[in-house]
Amino acid sequence: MRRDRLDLIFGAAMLVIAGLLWREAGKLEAGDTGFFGFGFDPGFFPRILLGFWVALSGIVLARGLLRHGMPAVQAPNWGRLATLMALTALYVLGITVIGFAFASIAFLLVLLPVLGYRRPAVVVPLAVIFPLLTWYVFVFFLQIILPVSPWFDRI
Amino acid sequence: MEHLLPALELVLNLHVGLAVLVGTAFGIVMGALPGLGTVLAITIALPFTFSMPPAPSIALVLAIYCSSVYGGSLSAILINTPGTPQSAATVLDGYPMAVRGEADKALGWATIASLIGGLFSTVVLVLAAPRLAQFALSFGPIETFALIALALTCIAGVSRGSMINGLLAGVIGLFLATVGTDAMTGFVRFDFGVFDLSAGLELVPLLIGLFALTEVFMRLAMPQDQDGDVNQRIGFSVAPLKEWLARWKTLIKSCVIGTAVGILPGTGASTAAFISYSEAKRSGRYRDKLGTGEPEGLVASEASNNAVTGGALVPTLALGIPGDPSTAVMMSALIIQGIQPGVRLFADNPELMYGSFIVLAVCNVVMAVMGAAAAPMLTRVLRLPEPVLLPMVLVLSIVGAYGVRGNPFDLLTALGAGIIGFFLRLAGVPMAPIVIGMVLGPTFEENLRQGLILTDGSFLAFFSGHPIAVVLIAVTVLVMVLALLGEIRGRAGASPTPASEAG
Repeated sequence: MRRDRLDLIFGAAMLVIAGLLWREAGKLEAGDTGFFGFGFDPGFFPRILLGFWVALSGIVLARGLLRHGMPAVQAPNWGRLATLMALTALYVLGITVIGFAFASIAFLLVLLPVLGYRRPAVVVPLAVIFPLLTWYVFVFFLQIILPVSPWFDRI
Repeated sequence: MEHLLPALELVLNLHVGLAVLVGTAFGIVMGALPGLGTVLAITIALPFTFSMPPAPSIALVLAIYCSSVYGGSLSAILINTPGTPQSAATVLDGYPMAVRGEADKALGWATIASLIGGLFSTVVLVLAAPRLAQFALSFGPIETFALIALALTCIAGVSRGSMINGLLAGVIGLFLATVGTDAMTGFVRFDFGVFDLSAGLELVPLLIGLFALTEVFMRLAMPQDQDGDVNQRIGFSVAPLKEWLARWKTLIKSCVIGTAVGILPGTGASTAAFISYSEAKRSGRYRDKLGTGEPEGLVASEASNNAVTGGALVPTLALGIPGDPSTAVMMSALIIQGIQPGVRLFADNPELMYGSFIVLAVCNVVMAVMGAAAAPMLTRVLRLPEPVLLPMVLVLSIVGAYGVRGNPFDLLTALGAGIIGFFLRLAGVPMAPIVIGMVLGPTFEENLRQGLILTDGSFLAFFSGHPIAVVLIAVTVLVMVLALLGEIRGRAGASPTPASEAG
């Protein structure tokens, strides 16, 4: 995608988000806080920021409209990106359901081959040993409790 | 001097020693691996500091900071790929030396220059930071507000790519800091009915998302260039003193440039390295040979990029204003330990601060020794394929996001920040101003509101009776106007941010 088109999309998206946040900032009424008449209401600073936000987004949008023929931006491999993000989201969800260790083992077992690394002699030991080692360091060495599975007490 | 003995007592123990050793080894490896770098290294290490006492945790972070900057030079020399952007100038002479079969000499030059640069900036840090903090004690809310405004503008201004995008990133960061309970009224802002947001966004998961996850997504989803050849003869040899003396002017100049650039907000080690390299090319004794494998180029690049480390810590520790993403992450490590960097830091924690200076000096020495010893082993590490390495980084990042307070919501924060950060980077928005805006946001807002209360709500009154604030705000406005003019002329737009750079 060309840089000017990216600016157009980005500037427009930022303006829409600013509009939504402005509506939310309007709900921050000073009278409800008991501080009315002294200092500044909690929406004061966010509204200033949103003013800058709108102005800067407008400049980005204008830049996109006024400039043509900008060089293309290197595009990601969308399929790979979507897979990677989806797997990471599933992994995050999995941690809360089956615990850190098991979710991590499953995640690595799937992700490494998806990324093109398919040597079982490396993938399987790595996918098992690395999460277990991490879990051990956090739980026993650093004493940080990680999410556990429904099947065991500590892992 | 009265703080020296208690400081020594604080840092001369096994835990601190171990933290320095582990941090240095980890930092060198992370720095050497192309694309990972300083910020990611410190971010990954943050969770490990949660359960550590302040002195070892600061030692760990400082060791990673110093050594990761140096580590970038190893891959720059050995495989023609700078491990960190700070080492980009090192490639110019380091790799040609390696191609000539002088990788061992190149590593020797880079290591010793890094050591000297790091130690020089530590001395400046020791001398300058307490004095700057002493001076800043006279700052009221209006001066502090003006100082943060200037720092944020500069950081946005010198971020890679368009300055307008950098400023917008800074505003986004400041806005994210307003989520949660307003410290002055107790009113909950922008929680959208989500209970977990009422306490605000946790900084560490956000950092992990914006830096670690976006980096992993970028590196795995963007087409990458092939890495260089790692089949070099690797060793380590230090050039004779005579050769060093022939290049002493460049060495000293680079140390001074690196430290001075480090103190300025937003500039960073890569800028320092290129300024020093340009200076060596202009005035160096061997300027005609620069770019062909001349050690003077290595000295210029490496002494200055490591001198940035101490320089960047001056405003971070003395004013509580981080100059770049690395120091912003380090600052959050201090905050996690209950230590608030800023003007009161040296008054409240003198032993810890002077102890940190000692640790920083030791880190530089350990970095050089370990770098010399580890160079041959790094060949194997540099061969580690990204599809193996980056999933491990992802797992460590996720566990780090959770480990801050054991709240599953932080996992969602990190994931959300990672996904949004990826698209922001694709649009050419730098990550550094977002994070620094978020770190400085609460102080910025508090000082603005306090200043307005002091002046009965008149912002114009900021300009009377506050000469320091007037100067700072004038410079801020000037920087902003220049940015706008730059955009209008099309200069900034002509060099958009490469999507693969987080700066």
